[in-house]
Amino acid sequence: MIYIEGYALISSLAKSAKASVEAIKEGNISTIAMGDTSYYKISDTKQLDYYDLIEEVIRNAISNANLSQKELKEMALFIGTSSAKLPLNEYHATDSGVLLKDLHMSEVSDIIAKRLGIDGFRTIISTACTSSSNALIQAKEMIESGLIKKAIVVGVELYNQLSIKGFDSFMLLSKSKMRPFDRERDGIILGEALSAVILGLKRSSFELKGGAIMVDTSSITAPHFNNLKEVMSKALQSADIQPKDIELIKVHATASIQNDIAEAQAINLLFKENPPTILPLKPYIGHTMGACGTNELVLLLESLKSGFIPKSIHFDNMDEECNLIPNLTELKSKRGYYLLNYFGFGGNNSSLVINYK
Amino acid sequence: MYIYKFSNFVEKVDGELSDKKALLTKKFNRSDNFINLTLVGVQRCVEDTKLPSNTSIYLASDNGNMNTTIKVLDSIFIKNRLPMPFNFLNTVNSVKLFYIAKNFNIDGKTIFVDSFESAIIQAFVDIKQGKNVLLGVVTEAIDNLELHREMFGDKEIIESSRWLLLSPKPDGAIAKIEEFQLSNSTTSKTKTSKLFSFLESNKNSFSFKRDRLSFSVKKML
Repeated sequence: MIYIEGYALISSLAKSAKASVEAIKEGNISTIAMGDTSYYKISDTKQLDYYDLIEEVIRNAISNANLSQKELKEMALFIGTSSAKLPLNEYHATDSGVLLKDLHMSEVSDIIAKRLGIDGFRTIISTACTSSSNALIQAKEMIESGLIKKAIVVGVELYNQLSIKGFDSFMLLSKSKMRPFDRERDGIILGEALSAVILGLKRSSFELKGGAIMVDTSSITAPHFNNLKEVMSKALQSADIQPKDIELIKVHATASIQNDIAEAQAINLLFKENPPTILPLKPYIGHTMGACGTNELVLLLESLKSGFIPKSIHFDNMDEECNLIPNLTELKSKRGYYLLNYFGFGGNNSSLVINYK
Repeated sequence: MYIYKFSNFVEKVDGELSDKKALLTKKFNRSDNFINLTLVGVQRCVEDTKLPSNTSIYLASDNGNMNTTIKVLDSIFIKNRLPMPFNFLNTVNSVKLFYIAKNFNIDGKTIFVDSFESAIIQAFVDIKQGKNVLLGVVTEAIDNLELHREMFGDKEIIESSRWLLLSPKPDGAIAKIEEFQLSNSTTSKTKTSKLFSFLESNKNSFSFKRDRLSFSVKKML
């Protein structure tokens, strides 16, 4: 059994998981204006803080898990990110006028490992919005195989123009606010955030019980409900549970027209007339792309630990095509199984199952 | 873990980058140089082998598709306008995997990583689970050769797309990977290209050691 031994988060809400969840409870959410759209920005940070922020979030997770220096040295490091070093490259591009200075992804894990004294296996996983959820599944399977004993899984997505302009080129950015599954939804608001999750064999309240990764080749940009249903089914199978066992689904819910319809149809197909509680988290921290896997997991775990399940915000009217209503009131946290969905460009889809014991 | 098939596409660049699309049996409209380079290697490795749909795909590249990234950054920072949507999309690493999966009707796991060592270690886990794995390492050159030399200091510029089709079963395999180990880091730095040169050679055994990973490869008789 693979447990979540510790975690940490730095988000636009606050610079710790605990404070981020307190901000959710108090409704203290803010975005900054960026042209026609908005952005969820971590306060008081610059592009050059890239490595310092990653180091900080890992150190916070290590402290949260009470790890020794020896354990840290032997750990494997998985970094899930879509943009990788682009924030740094863009800083140099604007500073020097040279567009491409350096993409060299492996340098990110090398520098972080060196700063923290990590001597174990390390990898960068870059699969768009599923980067860090896939990293969690890969790390879990590698621990189960016996190749490693413990892993730090980091999700990192920091401000960069390429992601914002790229999403804008597809007309996917919201001009108002993120309203998953709402009839009036008009798209995504991007955000920056990073988090770290420690996986290992030491018993804790949260078990990473299962997970699945699949590719959907029906469309490069829009998921098909059949594949989404299949990836959720496979995640449940890997956890050896049934749809009826799920207490809540942390939905991917980007608030884009097509994605929300496909995800809602997949959930309605799999869970039939009894869907569990539906919780979108992106309206709180934005779509943090490759980091949303660990970011939204940490937000959910810390909320559960704090005794509540957040309410869904910005939802007013159900979209008939989605036929899905997210959780509109704050609930008390409950022990049980939680399903988390993450879907990305290139048809890369993954689902995780957490058991809160 | 067995090597069922491999490809070793390597091309020296001294002028313009070649048209890889011309080498592909199945072409995609919006693919860029990196994606076409990837597909040339995959096509040469898989040939007409029917892959199980749950085959895992690992694509390793430290710098990804630099030419398209430059185009997108040029739109944003120099021309001050939005990038072309499919140029942006081609910079997204999972999109490269989409084309491979689409080409071979795969619906399994697709993972983009930074290095060969990282890919083969994760592939080893899938193989232990009984899955087949298609694993490649792709390196693109920047079409502005002067910029390429400045960034990488390469005297000879090459593009490469090297692939392994790995299987948990020995049937029909050309080589066996054994003594697969992760240990504390070493100073050994076996080049990935040496593994592929070995597979093309008449030699029977090969030892790979790089950072924390070591394994040996023995040709099947």
